[in-house]
Amino acid sequence: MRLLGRRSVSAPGGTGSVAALAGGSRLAPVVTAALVGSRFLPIWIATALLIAIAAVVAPETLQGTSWGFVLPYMTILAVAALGQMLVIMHAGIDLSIPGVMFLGGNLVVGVAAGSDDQLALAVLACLGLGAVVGLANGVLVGVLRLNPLIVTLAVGQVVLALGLSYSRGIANESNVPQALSSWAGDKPLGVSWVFWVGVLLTAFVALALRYTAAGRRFQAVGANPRAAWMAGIRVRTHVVFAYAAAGTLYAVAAVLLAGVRISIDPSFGAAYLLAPIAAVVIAGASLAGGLASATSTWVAALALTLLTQMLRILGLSTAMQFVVFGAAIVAGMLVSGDRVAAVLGRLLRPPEHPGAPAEAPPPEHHPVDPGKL
Amino acid sequence: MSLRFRGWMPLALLSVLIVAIAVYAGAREPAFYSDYNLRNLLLTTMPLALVALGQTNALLVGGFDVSVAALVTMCIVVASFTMPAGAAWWVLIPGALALVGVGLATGVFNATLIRVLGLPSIIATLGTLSILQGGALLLRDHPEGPISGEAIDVLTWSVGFLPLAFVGVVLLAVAADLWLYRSRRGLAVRAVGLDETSARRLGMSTGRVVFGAFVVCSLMAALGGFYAAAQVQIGSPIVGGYALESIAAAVLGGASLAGGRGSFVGALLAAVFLSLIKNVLPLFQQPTEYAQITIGALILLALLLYQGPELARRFRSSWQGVGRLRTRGATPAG
Repeated sequence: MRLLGRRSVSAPGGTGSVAALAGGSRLAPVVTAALVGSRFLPIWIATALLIAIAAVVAPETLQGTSWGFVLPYMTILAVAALGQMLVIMHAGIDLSIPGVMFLGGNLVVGVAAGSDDQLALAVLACLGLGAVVGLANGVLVGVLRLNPLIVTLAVGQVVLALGLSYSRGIANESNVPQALSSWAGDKPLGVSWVFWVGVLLTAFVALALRYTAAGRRFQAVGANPRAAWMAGIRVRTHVVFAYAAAGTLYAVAAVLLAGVRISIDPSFGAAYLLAPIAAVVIAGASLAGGLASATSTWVAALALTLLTQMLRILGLSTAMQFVVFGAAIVAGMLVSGDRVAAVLGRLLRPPEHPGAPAEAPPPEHHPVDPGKL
Repeated sequence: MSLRFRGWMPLALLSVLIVAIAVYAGAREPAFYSDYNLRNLLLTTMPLALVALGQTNALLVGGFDVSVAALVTMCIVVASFTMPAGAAWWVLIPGALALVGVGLATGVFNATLIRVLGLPSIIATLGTLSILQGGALLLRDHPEGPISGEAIDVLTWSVGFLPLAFVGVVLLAVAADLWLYRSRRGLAVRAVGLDETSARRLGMSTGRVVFGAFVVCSLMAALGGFYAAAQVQIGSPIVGGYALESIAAAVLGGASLAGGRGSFVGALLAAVFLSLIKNVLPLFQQPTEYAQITIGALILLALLLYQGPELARRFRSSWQGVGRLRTRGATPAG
């Protein structure tokens, strides 16, 4: 298992082909090392740049009151994105997030029925729902090998509809229990509990993936399911686990969002359909599966939320915020992952070996390939 | 064998379901068969059908396009400017061309991001979705600006309950399927979707095929925008939601998200089927959630059915594996 470190496990055709491109150069070892390490770097640089720009253009973005808004929301996005990341590592995709978050949020309100005593039960119900929905997704995708995009879309739609009919039944209870909302508003060390939960979860996922045998096996299945299967790893179990864990993380995000928002409206969770995917991908993960970094995903969630906040403070209309956000996703994607590295690699390639290695097709063109699962 | 099964299975299943639901609904509620309701059903199918036909193109080459939702909205908003109520025909025709132009520009933009800059299609079109949504909100921040009634009348012109445009879409879908399965270009599209590297090594201009597929996808979505505009009749920036629905329709119609497989007629049937469910449930005074639950469950069921042969083969082979283990265990003993 020691071999399955960050350097040897690379996304299929991703960093590997870059290394191949740089292979003929005298600089090869240096270049290869730099390129493989650089996959998750651009988002950190981009976020630093964003903070620098914000400091000049809209310094209010970086002041106390603004952080009080940015940090809870970035955490909710980051937690949902962590779940999405686990799925994307296995070349999957999960569109059931809004459904899980909506029904989960309503469960928190409905089960607790306004009393603080029932809060623990309500949170457990929400997490259980996330795990069950994730398990259903996982079995359909991992065991029956149906296409993840359409499976999670359909499951998400069913769960969302169940949430709508459930929310009608609990129309009298609109607010989450006092204990949850005051917990979310409480600020140890100057920042909300919500933020610390996000930091802990991110650190846990990052450390577990990097330093435990189970985490390494999980990564190995994502990077190359066939090789992992030959090495005796239970591929299907890992895929099912990825979806179930992801579902639980969405439920955590739902509890946090319920705490921050206090009440549940019909659009609760709707914003988390595509934003987590954007965060994961900008953070350097490949939709074709393979490695991903939890800490980079957290930073990407911070960057996206900070960008939205900065645009709001700059007084841009909602319309312009959409435009800039879209442009930022495209631009972020253009510099993310090993794209910049690939260009460098091509420049460094000696001219006497033209063509051959470049024939490897970029994996991104098959964003969801059920055959790879 | 399984490929052939995947070819006819979706069409057969959808046809049976559509007929069954229509017969049942007609028996329970005679109002279902009124000219008014049937015409209404077919007209509400139009935008989804056109977008799903476009989406099938994108799926065939192994990508997909989520920006169609915002493109439809954008077209409605643009139509409220270029095709305003009371405008004469010499204003309306360039106005309609402007919508097509929006579709073309979006398609070229998407295709450039995906093909020239090499972004994954979901991320590239997600960016476009956001940009278009913002653009639509910039032009109209709340629903206003009625759309020309004359243009709507022309678009929805019907004989009895049958809108002429729907006949056009049916013909288009049949022609597109013939093109896909009987022509060289159609073969090229399927080849690129199935295995791009091999297709390129065999000398196909794979870049052009993919580029074209995304441009056609956006153009069809813009055409869908005309019919969405005819439904809303006012420049509203908050319509849409065709992105995931059109992917669902294309997949129900037999398209594979891995590329290379799909049927335009299937996508059309699936679009009719999805609108039918939404049309029928209010007749029985059922809440709209039931439509969503039914659609979600049916999508899963259809997927299971379509993949039936492959699933059966996989279970059979693993069962044989168990059998081999057993006999191997038995040999030394016997």
